[in-house]
Amino acid sequence: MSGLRLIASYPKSGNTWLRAFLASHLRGGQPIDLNADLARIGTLTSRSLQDLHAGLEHADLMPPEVALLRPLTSRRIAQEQPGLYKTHDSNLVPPGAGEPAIPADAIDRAVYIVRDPRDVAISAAHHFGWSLAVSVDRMADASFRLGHSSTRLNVNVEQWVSSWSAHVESWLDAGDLHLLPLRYEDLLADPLEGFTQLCRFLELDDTRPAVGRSLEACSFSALAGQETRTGFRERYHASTAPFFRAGGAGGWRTALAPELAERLVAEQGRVMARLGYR
Amino acid sequence: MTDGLLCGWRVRSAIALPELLEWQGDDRPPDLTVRLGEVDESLPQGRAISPFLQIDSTGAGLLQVPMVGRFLVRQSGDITVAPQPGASDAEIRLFLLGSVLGMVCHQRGLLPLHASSVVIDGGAVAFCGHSGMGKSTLALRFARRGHAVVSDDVCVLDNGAPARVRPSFPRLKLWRDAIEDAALSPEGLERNRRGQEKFHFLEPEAGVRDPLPLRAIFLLRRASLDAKEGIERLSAPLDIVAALEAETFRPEIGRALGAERSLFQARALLASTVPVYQLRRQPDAPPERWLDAIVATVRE
Repeated sequence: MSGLRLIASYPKSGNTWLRAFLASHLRGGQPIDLNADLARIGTLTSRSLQDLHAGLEHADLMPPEVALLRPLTSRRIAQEQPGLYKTHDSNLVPPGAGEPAIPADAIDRAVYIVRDPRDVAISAAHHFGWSLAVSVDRMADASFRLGHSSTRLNVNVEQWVSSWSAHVESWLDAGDLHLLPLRYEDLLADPLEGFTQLCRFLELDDTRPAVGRSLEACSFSALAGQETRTGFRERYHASTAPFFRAGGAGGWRTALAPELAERLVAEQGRVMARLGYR
Repeated sequence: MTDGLLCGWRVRSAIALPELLEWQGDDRPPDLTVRLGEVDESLPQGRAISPFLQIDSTGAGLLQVPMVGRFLVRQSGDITVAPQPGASDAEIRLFLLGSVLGMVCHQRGLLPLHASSVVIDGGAVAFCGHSGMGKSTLALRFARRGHAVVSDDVCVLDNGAPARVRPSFPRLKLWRDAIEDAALSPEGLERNRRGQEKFHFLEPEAGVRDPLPLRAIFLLRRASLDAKEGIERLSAPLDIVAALEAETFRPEIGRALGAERSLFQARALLASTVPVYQLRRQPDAPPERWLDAIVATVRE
């Protein structure tokens, strides 16, 4: 295998669920330890990984320099440490750079998970410790980025995320990628079908019993139960809820004030319609 | 401008280097000379060792930091800096006394560890770890207790036995939170980069001139959520050699310069003569509570 195999998504769209599934699946469907086994599908933007392959500390660089550096580092990782990685990077060219952080030639293939932005808004609010209104604002912010250091170090380097709509279209409309788009809602409605597709795309065991076993091992209750018992190291420090909070679809109908849901539709409606979110 | 002392070298620099102690040694010619001048965008016959760095067959290195400048580092110790317009003095010194220092070590066959170090009982104690693991923060806490700072980021080992550290300079790079947590203020400190909340904290009275025996190395690690915090000595020399390889500053430069064997030997010497410990703690654990344990461990 050469090149990066990406699990890409806007934040809070089901990425960790897929990673948990894959972590179990790569171990023959065994139960996983959230705080150890998810590392099988590493975070591409992890500061130590990026520092190592860049030969520089990103903490000593300014955002435009990081934007110039990241595509070069992505190519090095693709060559020297290829494999499965998760990312929240958009496939857009950040200010100051000439290409996206993960250029197409560094990517072997990419899975892109998309989720109804009204549910994303709720999940993101809990995760980042935002109000729902701030969450909706951020999702419309074309210059939204993650990993930016202010007064302390972030465990990830900078990622140019942009708005929810721009993020989704940057990946799903990329003509130069071997891409599998998945909707979170479809995975929930028929997990066996969706995850079988995922396994086939990633050239993993896609037989029904194997996929079923791994799905069982990373069921929502298994993951949430483990978080209750041992904690989850990827939970954000300002978070106001467990990382594995609800794991459902359509929660926005009761949890999101109608005016916020309307604002989201006004701002993201065109792309929502392309994905069938009505 | 008077010459400075860096890792035992006499440094003559066209750029003021307030981090360095003054040279008080013999009247030898400078070991390192820093000039301002033009630097081409690439080295003829250079090859890219990492995204912003090239090395050529003479062992010269070219580092380019987009908003700071180009640094041409020759084997002879001749260093030419071409700053970018708008680069601050602190930004230029950040890379000169960081990446460039690391390159000079590799050119001279010395092992640079990615570590901060302080003096404990007359010897150097080094703290290694990734960005964010608290190397400089621990060094700051020791400095506030009166321990001299031997190095920050790049800890240079002398060749040969016993293992000794060549002191660099008493400057620590610290985030605002780390400074304020130590009841200090970043007011008046130079910023690491323009607009960044990371500062250069200088303890000018706390510098060290002469090489010091290396008494211990602590590898700073994050404890997993359900694991105990604590200090544990590594015992298998090969594990230690492997761990120290990961803590080597810019190992790719050493490899490119054909120094792999001398680097291995230097790490093997450390593994057999210097105690190496893992210090596992929770992220954001207060550094203060580890100081006594570290001193006690060193004295064991």
